[in-house]
Amino acid sequence: MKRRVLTLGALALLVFATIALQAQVTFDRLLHTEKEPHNWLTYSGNLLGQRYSLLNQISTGNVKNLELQWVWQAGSLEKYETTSLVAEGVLYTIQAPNNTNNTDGFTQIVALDAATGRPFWTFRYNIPQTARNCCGRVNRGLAILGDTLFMGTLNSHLIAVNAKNGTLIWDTTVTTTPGYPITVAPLVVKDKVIIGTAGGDGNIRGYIAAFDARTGKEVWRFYTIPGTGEPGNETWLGESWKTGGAGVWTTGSYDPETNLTFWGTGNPNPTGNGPIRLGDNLYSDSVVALDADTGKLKWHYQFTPHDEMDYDSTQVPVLADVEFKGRTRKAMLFANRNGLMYLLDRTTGEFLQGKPFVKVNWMDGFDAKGRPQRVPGKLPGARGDGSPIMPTILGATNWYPPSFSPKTGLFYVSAWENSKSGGGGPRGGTNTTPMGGIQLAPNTKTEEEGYGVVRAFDPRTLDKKWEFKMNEITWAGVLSTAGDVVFSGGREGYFFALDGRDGKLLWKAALGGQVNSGPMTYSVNNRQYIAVAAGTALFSFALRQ
Amino acid sequence: MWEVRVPAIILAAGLMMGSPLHAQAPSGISLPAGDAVRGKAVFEGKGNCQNCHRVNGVGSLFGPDLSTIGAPPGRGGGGAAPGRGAAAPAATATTPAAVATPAPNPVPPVPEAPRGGGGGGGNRGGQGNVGATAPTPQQLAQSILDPNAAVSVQNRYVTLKMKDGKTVVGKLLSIDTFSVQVFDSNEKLANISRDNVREMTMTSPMPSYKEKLTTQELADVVAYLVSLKGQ
Repeated sequence: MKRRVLTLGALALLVFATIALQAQVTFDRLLHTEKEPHNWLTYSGNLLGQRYSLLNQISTGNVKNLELQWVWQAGSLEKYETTSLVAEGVLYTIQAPNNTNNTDGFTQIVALDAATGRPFWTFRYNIPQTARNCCGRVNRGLAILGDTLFMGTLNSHLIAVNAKNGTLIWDTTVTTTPGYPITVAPLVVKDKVIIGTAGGDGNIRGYIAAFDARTGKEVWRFYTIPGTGEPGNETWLGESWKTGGAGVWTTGSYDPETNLTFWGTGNPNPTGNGPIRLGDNLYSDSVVALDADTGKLKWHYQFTPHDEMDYDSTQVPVLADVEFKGRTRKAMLFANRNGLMYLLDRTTGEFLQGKPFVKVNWMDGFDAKGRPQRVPGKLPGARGDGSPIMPTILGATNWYPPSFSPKTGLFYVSAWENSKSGGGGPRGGTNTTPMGGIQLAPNTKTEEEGYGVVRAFDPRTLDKKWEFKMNEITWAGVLSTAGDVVFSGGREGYFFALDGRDGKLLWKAALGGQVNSGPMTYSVNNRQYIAVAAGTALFSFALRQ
Repeated sequence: MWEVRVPAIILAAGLMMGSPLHAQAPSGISLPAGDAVRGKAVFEGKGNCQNCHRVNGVGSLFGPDLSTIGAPPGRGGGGAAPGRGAAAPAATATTPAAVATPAPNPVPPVPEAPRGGGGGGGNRGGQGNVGATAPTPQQLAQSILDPNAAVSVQNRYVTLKMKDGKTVVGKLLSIDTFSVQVFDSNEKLANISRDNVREMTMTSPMPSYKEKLTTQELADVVAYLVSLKGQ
């Protein structure tokens, strides 16, 4: 009898352990998110940066029946740029720091029931008022591995929090030097948590760093500006490299075949004063391919050498296999803030092709190696010819994520068309600040003065296949699904669904605040949800039952 | 999105000298000395300006409130300065009403900084009125003579030709992908679905006063406007 009890006990323990292991978000699960589309386990939905879901319950035929299921209101007046994660029916999101310029504040990780929005737990992390960022105290998201959530903070910490109960596991000070806020959602690769440091509009030397997921100890660091004696350091005049910026504030991607992780880097500093940093200013405005185990640079491609227009290349590198000139290439798609779309070979960095995806006038072609050919006079300020430069300094696109659908084979990008800087026109083509905000703002622009658009491109040719125009510019990302639906939004406060094949509007909802985030999707009890943040709140939709 | 037609900016403006007009650049407008008291009389009388404009609580809300048009923006003034919106006498009673309205906090064009961007966040804040000045007499005169010559994005007016044959004229409050919000000529706020709109044009409904005022009357009205600095 005693033996039987022990056996049953052992069996129960085994079952419990098995369930617990299943609940663990292993790296293998992150590698194969296609096997569990009901979850959304990384910033971009998968490590390839595609922001595509295999969920297809919501389709082009029924998306008109979407209904709001729940709203979660953040207690912060900062923009809500976070992409939430979902694991096993629990949604993890972030309340941006609620500081003012004169007060300390705090940020929060919040665990919600993904079906109802009811809170399970809240983890609060204090942010001193001295922790600032150029452009808002934002946070774009979390990473998860095992039972642990990872978050970078505005005061340059990386923290690990237990996903079950919201308790702190470790708190690593990434740097004590001011000016290195962390706004990016971390990327987990194997047993490491990778982040970049923002602040590249100030006197920093940006870097990407990996930390041991278990201990929080730094494993490697890659400076986005080479130091003395390193290749590329000669591309900076004098000592300018020491404060050359090149921050990193958008999540990278990972290719398991090559074990390379790819990250876009920001502008050289000071942006508008090129003469004091003459040279190409490597690796600013570039994509860098790093060995995920060591952080060693394998290749780089610089989109905008010696940038003076603030064309940060902090966009998500999207990995896909693409037919190009009769061959399937292991490719990277990159819709850049400078107005150009690129197809690169992700194994070597070879430039395959590049084309404008909006009106561009600062360059007029590429040389054989893919270096842009500058148009004389297209410089900001007194050194320029005074004519407008297109796209605007705020970019043809920006940090907000694009999407690639393997099903439609199209690459979807949120963009600004007709935007320009200089020449006396309205800044960014808008009558208020063109930067993202939380409240709806009046818009009286004409089409000639700039507008937002979602465009679909054929990755093989980079030709536009369709577009959906908005009247106002947009700071919203794009999600595509196996239901052939594309979701996006914009400053107008609409969240909408398009037919991924032709761009036809299928559904819309007015959310009452600017959509400044990338949509995501998940499923609970076989019911698909679409979640997006707008204003200071998170909204979740599902089909009417 | 359908096209929004905007008139070409007319740089030349004419002055009525009691004789046929001659075109001049705005900076070349020369005015005789004006009398604000006489200008007030023209504003409230011959010009019918109050049909569209309000000054110190008197007049229509449709056009810009001109109570502080003579003061620099941000100090309670400049509500409808040229480039920020037309400031001018209103249309006559027989013409489709009026001019441009001041934004609640009108913002003059600000020279663009040589940078601006995401830098890790996404908001560099707005633009202020630092260094803004009150409109010059020449600018005011230009707005009266050529209301469409320089209209800011804050003070745009639309004419909406509806599919049911009606026409709506109003100050454009905002336009988005699906709707237009206007303050119409009946002083009503209206949200109009773009599905119901056949054509939209963006022009000031204010007529030119080239043919309606003498040069002296123009100078008097300008002097009156310059004197409006708030109570």
